[in-house]
Amino acid sequence: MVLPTAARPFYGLIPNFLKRQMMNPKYIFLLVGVLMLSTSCNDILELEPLDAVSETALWNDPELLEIYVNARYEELPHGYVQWAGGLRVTSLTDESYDIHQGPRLTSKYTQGEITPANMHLFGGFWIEAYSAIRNLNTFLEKVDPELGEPVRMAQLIAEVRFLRAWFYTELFSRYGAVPLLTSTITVDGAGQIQERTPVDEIVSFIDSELQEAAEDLPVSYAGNDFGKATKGAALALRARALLYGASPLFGQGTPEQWQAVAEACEALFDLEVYSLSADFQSLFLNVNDPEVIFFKQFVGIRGSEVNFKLGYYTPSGGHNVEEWRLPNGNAGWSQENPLMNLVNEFETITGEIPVLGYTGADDNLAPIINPNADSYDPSDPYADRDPRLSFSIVHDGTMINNREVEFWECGMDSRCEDVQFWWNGALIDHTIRKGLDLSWEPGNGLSSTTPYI
Amino acid sequence: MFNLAMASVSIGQNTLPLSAIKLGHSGEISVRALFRLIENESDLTFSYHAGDLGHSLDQKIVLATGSQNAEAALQLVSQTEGLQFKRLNNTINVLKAPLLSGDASPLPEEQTYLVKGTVVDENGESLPGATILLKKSGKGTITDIDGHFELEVPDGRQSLIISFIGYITREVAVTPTNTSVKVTMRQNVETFEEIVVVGYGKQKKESITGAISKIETEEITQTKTANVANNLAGRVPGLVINARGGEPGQENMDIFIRGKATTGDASPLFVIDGVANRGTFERLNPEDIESISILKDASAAIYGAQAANGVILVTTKRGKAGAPKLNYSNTFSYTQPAKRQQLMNAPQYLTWLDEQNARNGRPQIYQNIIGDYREGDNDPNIWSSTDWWGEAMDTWSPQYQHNLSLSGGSDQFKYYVSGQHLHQDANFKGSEFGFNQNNIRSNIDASITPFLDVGLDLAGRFENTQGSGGVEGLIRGIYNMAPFEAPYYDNGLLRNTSKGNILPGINGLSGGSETDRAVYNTKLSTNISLDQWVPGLSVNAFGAIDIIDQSRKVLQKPYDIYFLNGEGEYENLRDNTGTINLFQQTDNETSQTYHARVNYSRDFNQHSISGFVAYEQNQVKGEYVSASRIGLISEDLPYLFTGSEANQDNDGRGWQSARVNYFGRFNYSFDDRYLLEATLRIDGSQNFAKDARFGTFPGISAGWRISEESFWKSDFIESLKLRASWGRLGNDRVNSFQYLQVYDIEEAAVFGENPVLGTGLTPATTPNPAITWETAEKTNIGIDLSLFNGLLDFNLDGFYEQRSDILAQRNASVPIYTGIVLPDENIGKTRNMGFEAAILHRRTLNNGFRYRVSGQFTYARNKIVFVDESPFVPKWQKVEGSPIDYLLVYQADGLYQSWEEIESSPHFPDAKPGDVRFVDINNDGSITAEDRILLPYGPTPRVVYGFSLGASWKGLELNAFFQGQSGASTIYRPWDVNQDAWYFENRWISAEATPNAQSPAAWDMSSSTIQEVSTIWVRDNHFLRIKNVELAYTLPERFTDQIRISNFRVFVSGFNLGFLYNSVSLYDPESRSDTGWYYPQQRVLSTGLSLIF
Repeated sequence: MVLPTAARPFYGLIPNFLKRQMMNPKYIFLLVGVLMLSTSCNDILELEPLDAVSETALWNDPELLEIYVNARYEELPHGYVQWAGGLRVTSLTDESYDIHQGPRLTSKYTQGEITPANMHLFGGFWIEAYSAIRNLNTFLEKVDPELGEPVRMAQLIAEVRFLRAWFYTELFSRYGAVPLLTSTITVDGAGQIQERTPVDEIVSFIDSELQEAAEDLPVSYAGNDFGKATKGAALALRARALLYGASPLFGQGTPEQWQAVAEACEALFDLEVYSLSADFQSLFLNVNDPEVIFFKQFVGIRGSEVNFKLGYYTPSGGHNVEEWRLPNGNAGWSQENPLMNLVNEFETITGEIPVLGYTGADDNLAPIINPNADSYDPSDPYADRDPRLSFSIVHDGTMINNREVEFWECGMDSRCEDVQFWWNGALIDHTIRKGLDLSWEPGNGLSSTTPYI
Repeated sequence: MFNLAMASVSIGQNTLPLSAIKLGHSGEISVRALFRLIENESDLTFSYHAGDLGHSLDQKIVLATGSQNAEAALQLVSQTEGLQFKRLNNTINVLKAPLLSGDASPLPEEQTYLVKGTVVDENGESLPGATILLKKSGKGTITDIDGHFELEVPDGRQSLIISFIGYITREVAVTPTNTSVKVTMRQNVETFEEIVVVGYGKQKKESITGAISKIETEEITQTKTANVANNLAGRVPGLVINARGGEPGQENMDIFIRGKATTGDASPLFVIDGVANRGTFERLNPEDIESISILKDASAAIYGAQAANGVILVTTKRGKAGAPKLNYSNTFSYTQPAKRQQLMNAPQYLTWLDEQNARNGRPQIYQNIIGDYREGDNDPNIWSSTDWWGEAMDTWSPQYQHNLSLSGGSDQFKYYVSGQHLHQDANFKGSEFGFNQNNIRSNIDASITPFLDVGLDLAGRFENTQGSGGVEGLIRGIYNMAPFEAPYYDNGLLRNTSKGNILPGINGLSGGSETDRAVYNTKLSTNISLDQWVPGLSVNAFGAIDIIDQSRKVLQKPYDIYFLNGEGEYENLRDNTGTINLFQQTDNETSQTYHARVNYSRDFNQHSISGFVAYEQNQVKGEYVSASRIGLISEDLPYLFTGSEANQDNDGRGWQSARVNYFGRFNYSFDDRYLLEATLRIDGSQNFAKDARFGTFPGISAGWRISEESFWKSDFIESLKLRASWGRLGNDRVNSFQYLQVYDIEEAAVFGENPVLGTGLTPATTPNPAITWETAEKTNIGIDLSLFNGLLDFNLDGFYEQRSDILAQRNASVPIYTGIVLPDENIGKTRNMGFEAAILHRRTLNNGFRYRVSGQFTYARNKIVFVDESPFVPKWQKVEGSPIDYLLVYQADGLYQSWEEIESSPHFPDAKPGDVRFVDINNDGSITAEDRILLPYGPTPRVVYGFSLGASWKGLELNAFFQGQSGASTIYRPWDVNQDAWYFENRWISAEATPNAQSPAAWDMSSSTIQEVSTIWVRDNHFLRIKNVELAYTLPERFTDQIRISNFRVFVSGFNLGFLYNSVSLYDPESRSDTGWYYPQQRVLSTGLSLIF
C-alpha cells in the first residue's frame, strides 16, 4: 500500500482510538473516512504525456523553438505529391491527361462536384494554408523574443513572418480577398465570421512584413541550416506579392503599384547574389544554381510509407516524382501525358508558333500549320523547336538513361499488352520531363531527392 | 434435533468444522442475526425460504459468554427452533425440520418390525441428517452421523420417504422380510443456492436486484477453443460476441454487452479477481475460471467512470479445505477454416480477364488458351491450374492443450495451483506459424488468526506468436494469385509468378514475426474482521501489480525463387528478394492498483443492512523501444549487431495514466422480501482537466420477492421477483491529454548542404479543456421466475439507455480559416434499448436421466440521437436515427442490360451494360455522393440468441449448443481479380444469356461498379450455427475406484460444425471484412480426457 507520510500518524492512533470507541461504528466510519481522504493521492492524477512535448517545455527552450520553426517549413506545399495537389491540376486543364485517375476524378471537376471535402484532390490549398498560418501565429503569440540569443531569436521570428507572408501570397493570388488573420482564434471564438480583407491590404501587410523580416534574415546559410529562408527569399517574395497585387486581376494596377514592384525587384537585384541560369535542364535539379532563390529539398526515404497529412498522401519527407512521371519503359507510371496543345505552344527555333489550330471533324482533325514556321515539319514535329520543348516533355526519340523512348505502338513505352508494365503506358505519346532527374532508376527502394524549386 | 451434515458432495467439498468459526458475540441474538454473524465470519452463506421458517428467524437465542462457536450456536438453534441445517459447498441450507412424532414414541399396540438403513449420496458417502418418514403415519427419524437410521414400522409392506434438502426425495418399500435398505440420494442441482459475484462482493442470486448474468466453469469449458470469448458466444443473455477472425492468438473478437451503445469505445470493462483493466478474459485458462458475471445495468455503476459499456467480472478458482485434488485434462484438436473459399479456376479466371478486355475494347487474348484448357491441350508448365487457396492453406491444423491443477488445503491454508499449455498451428501450409501459450496460477488463502485472512494470487501467462507479420496481406495474396500459374516448376523449384508468388510468405520462407508476451498478474489481499469490536465490521484491502512485457521481432529473409528464361535456364532471382532485415520492439507496462474497503453488515430483527465504503487507485506506466537494421549477415543470427549500421533506425515512446476512485454501496432488505441497493462512486481520471476531473456516478436498484409474501400462494410458481434499477455510469476510454496542448515530434523539413531529414514540433489537436467522460443513464426492469419446483427458470429484462457527452468532432461548424482542427467535444448522443430473456428447464428423472434445455435471446437496438452533421448533408443521409455502425452506400437497382438503358438514366461516366445500375436518389440527373443512402443495419447484430441442449445418463453426456443472430449487414466487396467462383458463375454476360444475373459483369477494379459501394455488395448477416456439440463419457465409479481415480471422463466435441441457416453463403457470416482478406474463423474438432485424482 502506498501511504503518504501525512497519513502515517494515524496509524499510531488507531489502537487507542479503537479501544475507546470500539463499540461505536460511527467513529470507525469517521476514522476510515479520514484515513481514506488522507491516503488518496489525487496528485497522482497530475500527469503529463510521455509521447509529446508539453506547452511549458516548448516555449521555454530556444532549441525546441527552432525545431518548432523547422516543422513550419514542412508545411510549405510542393508540387511533387502523388495523388493530388500540383501534380494533378494540369490534368484538369487541356494541358495534360492523367492516365491513372482518368475520367472519374476529372468528372468531379467538370461536373462541379468539388466540395470542401474533396477540394484537396484538385490542389485546393485553403485548409493547408490556414492550418499552417495558425501554427505560425501561435509561434508569434507565444514566443518570448528575449528567451535566447538575440540575433538567433530575431532570425527565428523573421523566418516565421516570412513563411506567414508566403502563405498569404499564395492565398490571395489564388483566391483574391481572404481573411487576414494575424493572431490565433480560440475554439470559443471560432464561430464568429471573419470578413475578407481586401487584396491591397493583404499586399501591404505582406510588403511590410517581408521588409522587416528581410532585415533579420541572413543572405545565405551554410551547413545544416542551408535551405532556410534567406534575405533574398524574403525580398523576392515581396516582389512577387507586389507584382501580383498590381495585377489587373485584383484592381487597377496603379503606376505607384508598378513603381513599388520595380523598386522591390531592384532591392533583390541589389543583393547581387542571384543571376540567370545558364542551363535550363539542370536548373531544376541544382539548388546551388545562381537562379535558385528558395527551394525545398528531399532525402531518400526507404520504403513506401505514406503519411496522411493535411488531406493528401505524401511519402514522409520524400516523393517519387521520377517514378510517377517517367514512361513505363523506365518502370515509371507515365502519370500525366501532356497534350499536343501544349507541345504546339512551344515556338520553332525561328520563333514562330508552329500550329495555329485544327480543322476538320472531331475524329479527323488536321493541324493548321503556321505558314511562317518554315522549320516546322509535321512528320517530325519535335525537331528544330525551342530547346525547352525537349527539356520539358518526353516524346518519341527522347533519350532517357541511354535509351530512346518508344511511344509508338507496341514500343517499349506504349500501352500494348506485350510490353512490360503496359498498364502504365501513356495514352498520349508524351510524358513530363521538366524537373526530373533522368538518371533515376527503379528499384533501389529509396524515394527521390529531386528538389522542388 | 440438530444434525449438521458434513457430507462431501460430488463437486468436491470440504469439511470445515463450524466449531472453528468463533463468534465474537454474547447475549441475546435473533436467529436471523446469528446467520448474518456467521456469514460475516466465514465464507458460508445461509440459504432458506423465509416463508418456510415462519417466525423462527426472529426468535432470540442467548449465546453464552466466552468462546461461542458457530457449531454450538447452530446446535442451540436446532434444538430450540427445530431447524435443520445442511451444508453444501459454502452454503448452509436451512429447513424447518418436519414435525416428527419421534423415535421415542413407539406404538406398542401394533405389531412392528425394525427397519435399518443407510442413506448415501451419489458418491457413496453417508448422508447424516436425512429425514426418513413413514408414508402412512408421518412418523419418522433422521440419519445419524454415519448415515444410518433405525425405524420401527407397523407390520406389513410400508413405504419410507427419504428426503434431504438439496437432494431428490425418494420413496422405498420395506417389508418384514426386507428390513435393511440402502438408499442412494441424487443431488437435485436445481435447488442449489446460487452465489453470484457482483462488483466488490458476492450476493445470493435471490437477493440480486440488478441485471446480472452468470456463467460457470462447466459451461465455459464445454467448448474446446483457445479463446474464452469463443466459448461464451451466444451463451449469456445480453452478451454480444462475434468472432471476426480466427488467427491463432489474434481472433479479433467483438465483445459487447447489449450491443453497441456508443459511437466511442464500446468495449466493456473487464475485472479479473476484483482488479480492473487486466485485459480481457480471452487468453485466460478456461479451466481456471470459476465463474463469469456480466453486469449489464446500474449494477455496474459501482465501477463508475469505466462502467458505461457494462462490466465483466471474472473470478478464478480458489482452493477448498480438503484432501489434495489433482485434476488433469487435455484436448487434442484439429482446426480448419469454417468456410473454405472456392476461388475461380484457371479457365474461369482467363474468361473473366478476356471479358474485361472485351468490355474495355481490348482484344480478347486468352481465347485460344481457354480453348486449350477445354480440350485439355494446355501445357501445364505454362498454363497450369492452381487452387491457390489449397496450395496455401492446410486442410487441418493441429491444436492441443493440457491443463493441470492441484487444489486443497486445510482451514488455515488453502491453495489452488494450475498450469496450462496450449498450442495452435496456423492454417498456413508448410509454416511454423502458430500460437503457444503457457498459463500458470497460484491462488493461496491463509487464515492467520480467526480475524485475519491473507490471500496471495500469482498468475503468469507466456504467449508466443509465430506469425507472418501481416495475415491480411497473406490472405490478400492468395486471392491475388493467378490460377493459371503453378507455384512450382516441374522440377520443384519455386516459381516467380507474375504477381509475386505468395507461398514464401505463407510458409515463412520470406521471414516472419515472433512475438513473446509475458503477462504477470499479482495480488496480495487481506480481510480483517473487526467484529469483536464492532459486530458486522470488517476491512478488506488489496494491492495488485500487473506487468506486461512484450518483445517482437520481424525478420525479413531472402529466398530462392526461379524464373525459366528464354534459354530454358532456371534463373535464381534471390537477389531481388531483398536482404536480411530485422525489426525489433519491446514494450513494457506496469499497472498498480491499490484498494481499501470497510464493510459493515448487520441484521436488526427483520432488517438487514450491509454496505461498504472503499477507496481505490490505479496507476499505469509503460514504454516501448524499437530498433531496426538491414542487411544482416546471417539469418541464423537474427540480432541487430549483425546488421549494417547504415539505415539503422530506432524509436521509443512512453505513456502513463492514473485513476482515483471513492465509492460505496448500501444494501437494505426487509424480511428478505424487499430489497434495496444504492451505490455511489466518485471517480477521478487523469484524462480530464483538473477542474473537470471528478465525476459522480450513482446507482439505485430495488427488488420485490413477491413469492416470499405471506399472501403468495401458488402451487406452480416457486419464486417470483421483480427488479428495477437506474444508474448513471461513465465511459472514460478516450485518448489521454486531450485537455492539454501538446506538441508532437515528427520528422520534418530537410535542410543542409548535405540534406538531412530533421525533426519538427507541431501542435497536436487543439485542446479541449472541458473534455469529460461519456455519460450513460441506464434503466432496467426485470423479472425472475422459477416455476414447477425449479423445473423451469425464466428471466426477462427490459432496458433503456441514453448515452450523452460522447466525444465527437463538430462538423464544419467552424470556418476553415481559423486553422483549427476542432478537438473532440462531448456532444454525441445515442440511445440503446431492448430486452433479453433467458429460459432454463432442467430435470433429473428418477432413473438418473438428466436433461437440460436453455435458451437466451437478446434484442438491442441502438441509434444515434445526435452528431454534429454538416448542414449540407442531404436529409436521407442524416445519421441521426441510424444505428451506430451504420453503412452509407449507393442503392443498386440491378444491372444495366443495355446501352439504351444506360443512356436513358443517370449513370457514372464509365457505366457499361452489366455494370451496377445506381439509383439517383435525389433525382438530380446524375449519380453523386449525395445519392448514397443509410442502411438500417450495421455489422453489430441487433438480435443474438443461443440455445443449448444437454442430456446425461449413466455417465454418458451429450451437449449441443446453437448460436444465432439477426439484424446485421456487412459489406462484402471482392476486391482483387481472383474471387470466389460464385461471382464468376453468377456474373452478367449479356441481356439475352443472363437476364437475371446476380453479380455484375467482369469488372475492372477502377470501375464505379466496384469502387463505389452499393447495396449489391451488402449482405445481411443472419445465421444459426451449430456452435458446439460434445459427447462425453464418465467412467463408472466401480472402475475408477479400482484405479484410485475419483473421476475419469473422455469426450469428443466439435466447434463451428455448420449452419442450420446462413444468409451469407460466400463468407463466414461473422466476418466483417469488406474484402475477405482476413484469417478465417475456425472449425475445431476435438477429443480429450479429464482425470481427477
